[in-house]
Amino acid sequence: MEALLRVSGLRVGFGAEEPRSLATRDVGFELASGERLGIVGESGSGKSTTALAIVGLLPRNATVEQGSVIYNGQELVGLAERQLRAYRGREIAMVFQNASTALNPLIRVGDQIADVVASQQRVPRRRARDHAVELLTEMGIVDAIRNARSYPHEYSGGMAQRALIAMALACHPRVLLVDEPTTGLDPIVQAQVLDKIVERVVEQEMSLIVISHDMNVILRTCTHVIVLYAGQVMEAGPCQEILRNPQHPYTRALLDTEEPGEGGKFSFIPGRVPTLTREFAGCAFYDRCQLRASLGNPMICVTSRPPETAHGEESRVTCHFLSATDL
Amino acid sequence: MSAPIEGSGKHVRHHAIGMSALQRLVRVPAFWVLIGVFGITLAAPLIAPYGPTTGDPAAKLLPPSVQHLMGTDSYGFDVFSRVLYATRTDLPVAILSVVIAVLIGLPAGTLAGYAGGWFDEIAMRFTEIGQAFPQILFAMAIFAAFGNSQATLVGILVVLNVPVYLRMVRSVVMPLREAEYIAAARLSGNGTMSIVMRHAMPNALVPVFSQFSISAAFGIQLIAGLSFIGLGVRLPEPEWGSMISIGAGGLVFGQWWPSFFPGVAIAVTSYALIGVGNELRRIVLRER
Amino acid sequence: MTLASQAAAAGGAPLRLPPSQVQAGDQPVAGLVRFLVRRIVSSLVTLLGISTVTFVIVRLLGNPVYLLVGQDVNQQIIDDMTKAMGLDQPIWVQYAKYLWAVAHGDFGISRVTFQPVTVELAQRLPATVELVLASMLIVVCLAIPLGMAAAISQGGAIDRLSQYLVEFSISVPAFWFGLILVFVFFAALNWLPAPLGRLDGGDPPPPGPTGLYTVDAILSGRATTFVDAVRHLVLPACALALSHIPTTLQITRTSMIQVLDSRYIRTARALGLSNRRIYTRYALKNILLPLFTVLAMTFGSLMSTTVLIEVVFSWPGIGLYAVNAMNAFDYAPIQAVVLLAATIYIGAYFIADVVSALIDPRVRL
Repeated sequence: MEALLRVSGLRVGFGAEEPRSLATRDVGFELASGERLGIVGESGSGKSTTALAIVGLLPRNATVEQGSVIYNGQELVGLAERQLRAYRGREIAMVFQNASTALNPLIRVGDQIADVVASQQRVPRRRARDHAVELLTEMGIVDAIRNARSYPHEYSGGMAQRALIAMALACHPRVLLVDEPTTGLDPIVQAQVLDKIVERVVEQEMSLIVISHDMNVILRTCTHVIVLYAGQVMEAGPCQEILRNPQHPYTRALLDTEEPGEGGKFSFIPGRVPTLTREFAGCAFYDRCQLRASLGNPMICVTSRPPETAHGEESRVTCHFLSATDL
Repeated sequence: MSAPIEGSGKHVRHHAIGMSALQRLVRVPAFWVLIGVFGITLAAPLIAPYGPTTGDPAAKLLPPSVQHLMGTDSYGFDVFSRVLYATRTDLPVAILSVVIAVLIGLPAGTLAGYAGGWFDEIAMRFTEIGQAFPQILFAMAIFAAFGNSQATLVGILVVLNVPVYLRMVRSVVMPLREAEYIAAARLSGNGTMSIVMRHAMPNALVPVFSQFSISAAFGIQLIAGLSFIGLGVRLPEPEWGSMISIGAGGLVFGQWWPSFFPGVAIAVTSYALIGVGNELRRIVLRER
Repeated sequence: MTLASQAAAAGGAPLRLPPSQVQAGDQPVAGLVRFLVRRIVSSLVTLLGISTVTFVIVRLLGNPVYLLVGQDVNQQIIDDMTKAMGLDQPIWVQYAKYLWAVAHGDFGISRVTFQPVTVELAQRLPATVELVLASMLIVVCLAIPLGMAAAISQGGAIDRLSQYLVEFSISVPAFWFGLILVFVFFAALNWLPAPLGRLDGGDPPPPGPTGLYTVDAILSGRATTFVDAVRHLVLPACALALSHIPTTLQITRTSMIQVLDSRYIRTARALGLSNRRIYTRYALKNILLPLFTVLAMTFGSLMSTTVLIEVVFSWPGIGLYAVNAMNAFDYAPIQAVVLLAATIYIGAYFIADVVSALIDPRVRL
């Protein structure tokens, strides 16, 4: 099946002075129609940047140095603003993190949603307002009529997130892109919001991209996942496969941190994400990799970039050493 | 460039302006203009072709020429020389006033920001009152009360500038109350006074330093405005504002030069001071 | 030239924008009332402070009795006058009486004309108000669109142009600029009239309710008077506007940039709303608040900076009144003008705060 969205070789640089920081260094993945893809990684791994690059909303000081984003056969990188606008919302709708600040504080929530409806669907305002109320209800907000007339600061975190997603869904996009949908929400609300997102996406036969640092969020919502580190894809594949058999040491570490270890302690990955201006001759994960330590610090990890190797049925992993414990 | 310091985000590296800052300043045209102005201030007696008050009544209102680069005014004074000499009247007064204002505002603002409480409340009321007062009118009233002298002038400028610096220092110091390293200092037994002196105040020096020349620019403009209406600096002292006033009457008769050049001097000096001040502020912000 | 410009010169850092105070659990209306009360009290305190300072200053001006009757006079007369003027009473009583008088709008008598200062102020206030309003019109029409365009272009040609304008306006003294305007447009080109007041020579002012010649002329249907008044108004208004353009421009620009970079504008963009829609419906609404605040403050500070311009153009407003009074050693008018200007300034701040509370639902909560 032809992929709906294909990103390849994406390389985004920040900053005015040399050396530029590279937020992504060769990110590539495919999203098929109806698929739900998660992008997981620590902060600084380039997740949000990838999303912003797709919709062409990178901040002023960032540019796509290389790479391509092909949506439905059309290359989006390099398109003029006016042309991109045709894709934003209508085809790909992005929902930013921290919903409370993503809504205009001076305009009632219902009106904001109605604006999007009116703009995207070209319906008169009255109809748009009614539709906004419908959307809020569909997202699980009770007493939608009263809440539509409220302002964003009167909403709880979970409500704001739902409202924001309702706004995105108002565009009837083919791809919904959600960035950290669970920021600031407590666990119960998180679960509700995530389930609601999946419900709506499935019902409207949309594709979904979820960005999160939390593997659990991805596993709950997505069918496929890509693991980003320092702007590179470390591993990619269907969630079930990855969960059952994580190949890349980073993926393993990520999965470990979600589960309490012995004694109920959370392990964490020591070290930190490398500074983004570094260029890597070898593997970017070398410094924090547990695997290389147990293999006696092989030189190849330092001198040459690990290749992307297919593995399993649909997965691929970027490492010099496929796990010997592959079962 | 060193890496940012971990821990409390309020920690500021305060060090004297280093080489890189100087390199940046040198690229700004305002910097050189300012050097020029300072140079003129120092060297006026050497550069000026005539004395500031040596006038030849017969040579009244001559348009600009080779002998009188900026012409002469209605008293027969050479405008060019007076423009040069006026730097010695305006700049020292303006700078001195700001220095005194800082000397008062720095400790007052530090105290207000750090100690808080009723002292802070009173200080804030004072600054509000001070900033609500219409400047020129206030100056007029003070001159009427205390007499028309340079000391009064300095006093007025000080009073008008103190609120600015008090507020600035206070806003820098206030968040420091919560900073970790202040708590650490307190834990290790340092008294309030020494904490204030060693940690809080130096942080405030940084924005103060960059505001300094901007205040001086406004000081000069205020002095000029006051002299224009006869307050502050009196004839025959050379001062840009009073020079403009002298020449104002002749404007309608086409004699533009006695008023024109002093105004240009004010504009150029202000531009230089403000430009340097802005660049300093940018340097300081970058280094944080 | 104003202190506000000082802050603007330092890079357009936002001035004291109204505080957002959120009190959980309040009814919205009660919250608003409480906010209003607090602001009124605070303004009154500041006004009180200014009155007190003015009082102190005036007391330092020397014994007003001597000023009225001179020094070579019979002691008895001096004693009588002192008593008549209430100066023999303790300073606290004098202070209280002074406050009482001021609160009732009684500013004393002019030493020169023997008229009540309040009356003379009222006669001259419209001239200043007209000048200030005309200047504000210029500032609004020039600085605000330019600030918004500069924010949109950020770094582009318009931004640089507005930077130059700011640098120019801040460095050039307004009163000198006014003189140069007079030279160019009157002496050299003769397009505009001489700087001798509001109307030509012997023409009578239009009858009217407002005292603003332009408005009154329209109201009474006198076209030529209107044109005449406008022609006299142009140059002083431009000169006065000069010192206030940088503040307004920079704050508009900064606010617009903040709004354009905000997350909610990004959301609107991400969901496909057009630029035009974003600028007009969204961004504009979000900058209305800081804009209004800066305009209110500009008005307040305009009232205080008219003095020099009025002198240059012989404009018969309260500023010129104060200067003439000062030259005649007549102190009651100076005190009155200071108080009036300060009150207007504080009043402007107050209105800005109140309107912020009304527009921004967060403040109200």
